Amino acid sequence: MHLTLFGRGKHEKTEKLYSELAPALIAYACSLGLDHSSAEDMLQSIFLHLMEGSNWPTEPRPYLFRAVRNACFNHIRNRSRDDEVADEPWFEIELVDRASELDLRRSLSRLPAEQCEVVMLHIWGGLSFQEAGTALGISPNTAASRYRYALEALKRSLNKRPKEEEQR
Amino acid sequence: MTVNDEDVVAIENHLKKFRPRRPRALDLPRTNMKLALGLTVAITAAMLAVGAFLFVRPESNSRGVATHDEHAETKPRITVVQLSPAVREVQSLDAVLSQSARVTLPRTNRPRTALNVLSKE
Repeated sequence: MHLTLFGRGKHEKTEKLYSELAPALIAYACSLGLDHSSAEDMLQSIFLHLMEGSNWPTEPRPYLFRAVRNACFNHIRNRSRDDEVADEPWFEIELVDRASELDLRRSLSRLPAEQCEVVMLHIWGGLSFQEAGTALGISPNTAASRYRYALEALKRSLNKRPKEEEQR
Repeated sequence: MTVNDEDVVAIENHLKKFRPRRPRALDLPRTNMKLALGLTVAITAAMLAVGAFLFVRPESNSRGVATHDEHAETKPRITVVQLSPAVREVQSLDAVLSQSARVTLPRTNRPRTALNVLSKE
């Protein structure tokens, strides 16, 4: 009650963060193995927890990516082996064709998990390497180096597809 | 295969063409805030009402007491001492009774009262 009465600024800050980061956070959760709808439910509870919590994080952006990461690992750990993960797009397919979207998803999924995470955080989350390092519990240099390796792998993977299409 | 800075920019630009899907709107408990505000307004109104009651009450009490005392003072008392000699003489008894009737019986001549209206009928 106390928080809902006097936390109007907090409410607005939470909504602003959600509108800025939710798409990237959902895509990140999908890259960690959740389907889109589970990721949405999980994100709602994370933001609710953020708003109702007594302490506002000093760095909310890395905090949220870290919270999503932890929640995803918990979700996957508790998930039954029989549960099927729906094959839903992570990205808007109105802007690009469905095949390109699928191709990117596959390329990202083939990356080592730690490299994929840095790409998701830096490209779509807009986090600096410093912030990405905070979110992942690694140094900024390690984050930058993983990013570089990830781009090399993506370049190979994305270049391969046009060649494959030419061969067909 | 290594990537140079140009490659990095080109790959980044390619990746940024893809935009993550927007999720549904955030469903934060706004109703709690409305409820809290409603409760605050109700509590404030109740406190004002209690304050106003406490402020007005002593005044009305003192007025009530004063009226009562005033009434008590003006009310003539028909005592046994007054009635005893009057009983012996019928004329003086009439005088005592008519004098007391002026205040002890309801007055019908007070304007805009129910008795006044009824007495006219």
